Amino acid sequence: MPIESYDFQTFAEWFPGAFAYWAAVMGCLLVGGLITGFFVSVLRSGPMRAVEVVGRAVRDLVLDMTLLSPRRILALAWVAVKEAVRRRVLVVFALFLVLMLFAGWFINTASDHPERVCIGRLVFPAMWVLTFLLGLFLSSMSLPLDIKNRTLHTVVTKPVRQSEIVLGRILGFAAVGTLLLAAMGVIGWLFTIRTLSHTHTLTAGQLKEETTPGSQTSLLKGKTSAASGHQHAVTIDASGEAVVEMKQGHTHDLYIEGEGDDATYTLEGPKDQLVARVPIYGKLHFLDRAGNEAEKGVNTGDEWTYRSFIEGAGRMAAIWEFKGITQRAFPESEFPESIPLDLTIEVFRTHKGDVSKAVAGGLWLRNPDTGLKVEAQVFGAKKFSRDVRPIPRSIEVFKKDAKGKPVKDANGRPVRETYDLFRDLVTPDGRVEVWLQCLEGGQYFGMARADAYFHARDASFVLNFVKGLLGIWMQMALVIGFGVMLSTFLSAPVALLATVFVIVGGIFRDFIVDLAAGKTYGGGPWESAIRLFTQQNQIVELEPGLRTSAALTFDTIAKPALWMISRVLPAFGNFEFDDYVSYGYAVDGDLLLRCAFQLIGFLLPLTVAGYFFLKNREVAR
Amino acid sequence: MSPEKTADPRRRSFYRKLAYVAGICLLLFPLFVLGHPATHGTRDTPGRSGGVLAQLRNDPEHGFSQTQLGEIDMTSETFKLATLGMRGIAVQVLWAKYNKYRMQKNFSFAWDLLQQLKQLAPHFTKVWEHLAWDITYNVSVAQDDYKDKFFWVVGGAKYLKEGIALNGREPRLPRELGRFISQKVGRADETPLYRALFRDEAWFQTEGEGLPLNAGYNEQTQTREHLVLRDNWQVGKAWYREAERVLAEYHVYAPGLSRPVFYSDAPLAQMYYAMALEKDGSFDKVAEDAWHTAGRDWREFGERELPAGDEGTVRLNDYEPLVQEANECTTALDKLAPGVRDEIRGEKVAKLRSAERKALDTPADKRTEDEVRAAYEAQSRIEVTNDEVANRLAQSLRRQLRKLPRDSEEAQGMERKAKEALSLAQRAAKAQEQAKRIDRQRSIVNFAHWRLRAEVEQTRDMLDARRAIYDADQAMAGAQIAAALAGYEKGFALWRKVIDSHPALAEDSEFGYDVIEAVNRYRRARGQDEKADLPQPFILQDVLNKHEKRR
Repeated sequence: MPIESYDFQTFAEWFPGAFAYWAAVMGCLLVGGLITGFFVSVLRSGPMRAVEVVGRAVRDLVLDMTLLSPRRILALAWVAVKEAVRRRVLVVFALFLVLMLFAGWFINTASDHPERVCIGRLVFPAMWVLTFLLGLFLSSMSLPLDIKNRTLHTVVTKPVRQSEIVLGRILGFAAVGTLLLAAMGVIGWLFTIRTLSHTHTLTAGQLKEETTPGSQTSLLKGKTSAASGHQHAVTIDASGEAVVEMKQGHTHDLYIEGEGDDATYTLEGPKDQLVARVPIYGKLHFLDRAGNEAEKGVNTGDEWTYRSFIEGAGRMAAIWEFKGITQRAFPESEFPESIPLDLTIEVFRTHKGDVSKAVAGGLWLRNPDTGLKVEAQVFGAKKFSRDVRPIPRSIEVFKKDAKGKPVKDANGRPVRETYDLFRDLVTPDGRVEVWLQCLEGGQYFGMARADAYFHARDASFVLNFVKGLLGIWMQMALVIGFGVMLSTFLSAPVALLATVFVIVGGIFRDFIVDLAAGKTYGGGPWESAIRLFTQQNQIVELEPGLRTSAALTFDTIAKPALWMISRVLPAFGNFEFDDYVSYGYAVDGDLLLRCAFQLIGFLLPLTVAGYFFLKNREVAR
Repeated sequence: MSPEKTADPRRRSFYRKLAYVAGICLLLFPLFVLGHPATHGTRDTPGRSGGVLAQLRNDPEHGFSQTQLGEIDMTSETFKLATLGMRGIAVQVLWAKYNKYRMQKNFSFAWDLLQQLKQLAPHFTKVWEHLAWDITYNVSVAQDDYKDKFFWVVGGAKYLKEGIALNGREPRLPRELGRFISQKVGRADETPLYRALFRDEAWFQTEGEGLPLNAGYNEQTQTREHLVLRDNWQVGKAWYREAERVLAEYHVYAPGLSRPVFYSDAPLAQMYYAMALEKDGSFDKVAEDAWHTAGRDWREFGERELPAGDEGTVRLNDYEPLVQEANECTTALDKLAPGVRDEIRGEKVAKLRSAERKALDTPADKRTEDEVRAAYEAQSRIEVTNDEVANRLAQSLRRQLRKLPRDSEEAQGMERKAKEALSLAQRAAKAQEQAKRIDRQRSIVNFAHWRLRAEVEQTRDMLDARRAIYDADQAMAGAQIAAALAGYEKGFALWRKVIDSHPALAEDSEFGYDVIEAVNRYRRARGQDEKADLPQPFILQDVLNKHEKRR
């Protein structure tokens, strides 16, 4: 599963373009709103009066949005909180507790990666659903019910600005959601730790002595007891060093006391299961069959074109250009022998070859400034799994002349030379190229940009978990913003429905964008409807006729509307960090910052729109 | 208004209400009879079978009760309840996600979705079949490391096993499981590696209750037992037997399930087990016993009554006795009517066109394409049936009878002869018809080939021949040419001996293929290419001539 750092753009790279786009959209909406308001006023009261009305509206907007009183906003937020508690929002928390109590039934601890199931399939989705429901019901029903019960009258008759009412509601409901989310987060965290916690037992009877062929040393090999649907293979060498096999994404520390048959073996809890890796990604490009630069590799016919492929035993290569590979990022005290390069490769065989052996690949390092290129290692590719390739700090190779032939000494023996990674292969500013090639003819390696990264350090998993909760919080804030805005001019059930449409539209935003661009199979909404009712698949051409022509025409009209709708819908998927948390990758600050600014980018116009709609309602005037 | 008139509407209302209550009370009786639930008994009180509906539900013949489908999984029931009636939508969404994860090769998440899908649709057997097949056949093949492939093969099989527990009356599921285990493990490019991994029990361990996937099967008691099997074909056979038990015990209506193919699965798995032993280099008593068991299983299969569509039931072993009976009737008829068959044939030949006659007269290997067609048509036209012979005899006897007194012994003898001829013709026709029906079913499962195979392979000569060829192959791989040549020649001599004692073997195409392949390896050992002539006279030249042309 690719966990990409959001198009790999830093916040500084993203912000100018995004801000300009946002400003343009806001500008269009504002100008469009003003023009519409002007024309409506003209129809009502004539052009001179319309100018006065529009001018007053703009003046009031500027005043009401700038002369906000934090004290009044907080007071209104507190009222919203009390109202939410009165409406028994704590039921949500109770629901979550009940869910967690029985959630164990639905977790398959024998899964390949139970932490992904626990976090990504249960804890975070449960919190997401409950906070969404909370935000939906609170925000969309509050104002309309207050207006209906005339309790809002007691507020609007006070010297309170409509903008403060809207902001107060948003803040108040967001505060309630935050508290509940925090509580659910703690419970969810405890549930995760408890579910994944396990250990195994190992006794002397489970170990057998094995001698490595061609060696004098013997090893103790065996398997631990089964727990959570798995066992670990254990290897203990003569010096007592124990290696516990990595299984289901984790291992255990093994402590040995005593010797021989009287030895006792104690295994600790799971290690390396809940992590938050901080990756250093590079830029990827390829060399084609002729050895020329290319943006993409070969397509092997895979339906999913996320990865590009390179052919084996030829000139094709995948090249990552990394920055930030410095001694400081990889201090010798923490990385004494090598620095870890995490590699995920897809292997495509055009012929079976030797099925008992992995397809061989090679890694080279190249200094982009000096051009020095050295073979780091040859390895067997592991498909669909994260393969940690240690890149040695000191690389010894056979010396070659300009023509690539091995250089020999006076005795005819090949001469070796040693290169230091940071001195010879990495530039002073931390740049280095990593080349990957497939070494077997007729076989292919597939990769994408995120498939190779240097694993510099691990961030705190707890902090990462909190960042995941932040993602849910931001989505909840968006729902609250839309709910409050829509409730300023719609009745409670209609506002509820409208907010549900926004949520559904936001979840499927990418699909709507593809639909508007005509990239989906089966055509637009009308064509799809015909296919559904006539039970045709998405690929077959529709029969030509009046019905088909009408459907295609309506779809053509619908596309710009869909495009416009997709521009104002929030892409909830951008705020989801549960994959990062469950797959063990740190949510980086740039991504959080981008999402925070996106949230502000939505909340600001929602507040303004809510203000306008509430202002124009005749509430206790 | 008078008091009586004002009281009347209230009283009418009261009487109406009384009538409703009385009606409800009356209806309670039939409702109770129909709908009261069944109860379990305790030590002191017996259980009750419940009302009509409860009895119908629990009647094994109808099988309406959910408990009769299989086990009930509480998690699944809770899950279904939690969807609040939107189970169908939930299944659709999950399935769409499953396809997306499959496309992205995110097999971990796809596998986890399967766990949810199985809880939402536990009694849809097609769901189990399809998903288990997808995992075993498609996800496994997407892996590169053979251990990862095996992991997913076993994973799909384990998944299907869970479905069997929940659908105890569905024979297709254990049959599919048998197929996955036997064929996916036993007929892949990675088979030698898979079979080595299969012997490790750890792959099949499961937490919780129940026998593991590779548990044995007791054919006497028809139950799975606590005996670990380490061969995929044996495990497959165990599951095939389980499928047979389910079909027999519950009389399941299974349209589209071909019974000859269904019942041939287990004996064929036994045959493949024996062949796999030989491929692994085992030719001793174990292999001999395996073939012996295969032969016995195939004989038992031949004795089984199998439905033959609209044609009633047949037993595959009845073919030869029926053919013999038909031949005996034909011979007896020809004795009764000597020369009649030739006479009729002559008449038919006379009616042939000259081209057809010429085609018939031309030797088969020298005919042109048109002559082959013409000869085939001509042959069917000059075929003389037993009915024709019997009728001709009867006609001739009747003509003679007119000249004789009715009561005379001679006349009576002629009558008896005519009747006997017609009876013989009828019996022969009936036997031939039944034999044809059986032959159609036999051809579906290649019955004759496998029967011969089992019969021949269990002989010591054949096992020794196979061992000699195997040793020769091993010697070739080790570049020991002299030993290889000696091995091949020994093997060929033993094969000759087997063919001489079982002449039908020479006609068998599978055996012919084995011979050709072994001879080609022999040729390579002699340093020749495949088309080079072998030293003459070659001991198996007749087999080569027969089968090389067919290839």
